[in-house]
Amino acid sequence: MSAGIARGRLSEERKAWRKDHPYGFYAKPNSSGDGSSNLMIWTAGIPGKDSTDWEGGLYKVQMEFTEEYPSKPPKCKFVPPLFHPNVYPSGTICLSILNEEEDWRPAITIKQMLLGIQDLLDTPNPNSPAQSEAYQLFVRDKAAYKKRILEEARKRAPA
Amino acid sequence: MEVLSPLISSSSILVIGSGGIGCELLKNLAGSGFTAVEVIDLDTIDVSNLNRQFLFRGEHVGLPKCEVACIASRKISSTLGHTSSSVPGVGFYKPHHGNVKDNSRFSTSFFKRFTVVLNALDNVSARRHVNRLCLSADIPLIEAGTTGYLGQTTVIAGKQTECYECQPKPTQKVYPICTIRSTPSMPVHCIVWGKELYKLMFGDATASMLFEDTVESDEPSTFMEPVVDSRLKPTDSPSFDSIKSYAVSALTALYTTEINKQLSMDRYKGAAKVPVAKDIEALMVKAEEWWKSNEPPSTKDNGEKIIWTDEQCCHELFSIIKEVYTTSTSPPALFTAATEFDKDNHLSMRFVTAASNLRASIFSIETSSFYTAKGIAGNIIPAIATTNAIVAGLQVLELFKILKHGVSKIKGVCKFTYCLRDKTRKGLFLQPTSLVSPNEKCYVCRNARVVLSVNAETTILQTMIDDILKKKMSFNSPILQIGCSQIYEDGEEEYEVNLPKLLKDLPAGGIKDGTILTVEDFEQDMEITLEIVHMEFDEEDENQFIVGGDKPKPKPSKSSEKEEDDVPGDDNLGDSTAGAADANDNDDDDDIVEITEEDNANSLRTRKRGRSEEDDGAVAPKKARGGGEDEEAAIAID
Repeated sequence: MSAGIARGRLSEERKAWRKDHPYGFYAKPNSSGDGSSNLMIWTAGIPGKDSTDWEGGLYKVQMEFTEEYPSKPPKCKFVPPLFHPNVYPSGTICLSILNEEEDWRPAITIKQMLLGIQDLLDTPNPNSPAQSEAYQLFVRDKAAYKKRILEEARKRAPA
Repeated sequence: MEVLSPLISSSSILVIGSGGIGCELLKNLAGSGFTAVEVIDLDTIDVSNLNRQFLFRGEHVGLPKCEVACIASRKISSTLGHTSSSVPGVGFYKPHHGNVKDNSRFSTSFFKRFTVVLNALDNVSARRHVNRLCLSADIPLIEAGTTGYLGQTTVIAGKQTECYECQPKPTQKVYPICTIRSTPSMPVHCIVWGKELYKLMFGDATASMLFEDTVESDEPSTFMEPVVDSRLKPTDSPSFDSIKSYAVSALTALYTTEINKQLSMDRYKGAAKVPVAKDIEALMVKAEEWWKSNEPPSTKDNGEKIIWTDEQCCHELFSIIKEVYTTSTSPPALFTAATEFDKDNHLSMRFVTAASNLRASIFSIETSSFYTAKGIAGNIIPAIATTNAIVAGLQVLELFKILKHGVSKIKGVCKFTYCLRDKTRKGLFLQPTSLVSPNEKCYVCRNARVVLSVNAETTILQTMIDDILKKKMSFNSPILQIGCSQIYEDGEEEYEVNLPKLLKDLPAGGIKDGTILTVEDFEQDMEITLEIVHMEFDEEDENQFIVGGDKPKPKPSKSSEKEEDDVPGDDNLGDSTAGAADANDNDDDDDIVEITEEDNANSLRTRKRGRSEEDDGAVAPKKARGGGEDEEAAIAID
C-alpha cells in the first residue's frame, strides 16, 4: 500500500530538508539498489557537536516510517548500535520526542528529530538506561566513559 | 419505488467485503431488486462467523465468503423473479475471491465498471486503499463500519465531500521500546513483550523489539546466546534433555539474568514497584514433574479460563518449546518472518499467555487468563449483528439517494450517520449530519489527476522526462514516485541508471497501464498525479503520447489530444497512490472493527484504546448473560 498521508508528508520533509538543513547532517531516503529508493526508510548522519567528546564523529541513524506517520513517530536506530546509555543494544534510540506516549507530536520535523538525537549524545538521561555497559560507565566512572566516547568519535569519523 | 425501480436495474454495484456488514448489505441489495452486483472478499468462512453472517451455514465453513454469499444473494434475487444481471458487462452477484489490494485484479479500470462502490470492510488499511481507488475511478463510495454498539455510514464523493483520509484516523497504539523492554506497567505491555519474544524465539529474531545486536554492539546480551544462538533444530530430533536444557537456560536468561541486569542499572530507583526476578530452577521442579505427564494447563478443563500460576506458566512454556521442536505441529517456517504471533494460532497464543504472565508477575502487574490475554492481544471487540444490520440498511438508503438525485448532488442529499449507544437529547439513536467538504490539505484527495496515455512498452524514461514532463508539462526538475518508491529525481546520479530503461521495466513495478505516478517539482512547488494508460500509437503520429484531462477516457482516440491548458495549475500538491498493490495484507484493525474472533460466547472480552480494564482484567470470563446487553463495547469511532 502506498502510504498516502505518510508519503506526502515525507515528500514535504524532503523538500524542507533540501532547502535548509543543519551543517554537517545528511538525511535521505534509502536506495533500494535497483535505481529506486524507498521513501519510508531514511538514512541520516548526525555529527557530534563541536566542543563535546562526540565531536569529529558522524553517527549514522536509520529512520523507519510507517503508514501511520506522522501520527506516529518513526523508529530511529543507530547503525551500527552506538555506545550510549540511552541506546538499546539493537541500536534503537530511547528519546522522549520519539515516543508516542511522551513528547512526540506530528508537527515535529525530521530536522528537529535529528537535532534532538544530536543533543542526546552529550546529555544522556540517566533515568532511562537502555544498555548496561554505557550506563554503568557513565554513572560510575566518568573518566573512563569520556575515554570511550572519544574512541567512539574517532572510530566514526567520516573517511 | 416506481421512481427508483428503473434506476436500480440500470445500476451496477461493487460490494467489498462479505462478512458481518456484507451479508446484511447483500441481503438488502438483493431484496431491493439490484441484480448487477459483484463482490470482493478474500476471507473464508469460520465457524465463529455463523452467529451473525447469516448467509452462511455450518456446511459452508472453510469456503470463500464471497462465493457462498453470492449464491445466497442470487437465491434471494430469484424470489423477485431475477435470474441474470440487468447491466451488460457486470455479473449477477459475481464473487471475486481475492484481496482488494491486488492491483492486478482490482485496478481503477475494474472499479470504473460500477455505478457505486459499497464498503463492508473490517480494517482501515483496505478502506484506505478502496478510498483511493474510488477517488481515482471517480465513483462514489458508501462507507460503513461498526464497533460493538456503535457504527456509522457515510458517503465519499471525490471533490464534493471529505474522503476517508481527509481526517486522521485514530490508530492502534504502538508501544515504545522503553515501555516494553524496561518499564511495563500494564498487562498489555507484557503481552506485547510476549509477542516479541515469540518472534525472537521462533521467528525472525532480528525483527523482534527484543533483538540485541551482539556483533556490532559492545553490550553483552544476557539472553541472545541462550534464546537465539542456542535455538535447536527440529530436524535433529532433539532429545528431551536438550530441549529441557534449552528451555531452562532461555527462560532463566529472560526472567532472571536480564531482570537482574535491569535492576543493576538502578532503573527502578524510586519506583513504586521494583521487579523481582524469577527463580526458574525452583519453578522448574514442579513444572518438570508435570511436564513429564505432558498435560500443560491449557489442555485442562477450564484451562483457558483460569489464571495460571508461575509454575503452570513454566510448564506451559516447556510444553510449547517441546511441541515446536519435536512434533509436526511446529510452525512450518520456523525461524523466518512467517512465524509470527497470530491470536488465532493456538500455540502462539498459549505461548504469549504464559510468557507474558511470568513477566507480569515479575513487575507486579495483573496476570491474565488465556481468554483475557487473547482479547488484549487481538484487540477484540464483539461484533453485534444488529449494529451491522443498521449500518448496512443506512448504506442502501444512501445508495437510493445517490441513484435518485445523481452523483453531483451527493454532498447536498447524503448524510454521515452515526449509530449511537445512548440516545441523543432528542431521543434518537441515529444521528445524521451533513457531509463536509474535502480537507484542502488532504494528501489523498486534494491533488490534481491527469491521465497520460503513452506506450509503456516502447517509451524510455528519458523520453518521458524530456518530451512529456519537461517540454509538454513544463516541469523544471521533476521527481517521480510510484507509491513509496522514488524512481527518478532530476540531478541525482543514483537514478540515472533508469533513464535508458523502458517505462514498463522501471523499478518498483514499472510504469504500466494503470500505474499511478506522482510527479513533483520542488523548484516549482508543484505536484500532480499521473494515471498511466498504455496505448499504442502509429509511428507516423506526431505525438506519441496524450496528456488528458482529469476525466479519463476509456478508449482515447489519437485525435483527441487535449490542449496544454489541461495541465493543472502549479499549486496542486497532493498524493494519490491508490493504484499500488500491497502484498502485505495488514488486517490488524484500528478504529472501526467488525470482529470475528470469538468462538466462545462466554469469553467475549472487550479491549480497546483507553478502556479501563480493572473491572474484568484478571478474573475468569463472565458468563454470557443472554441478549448481549451486558457486553461492554469499547469504543472510539472516527
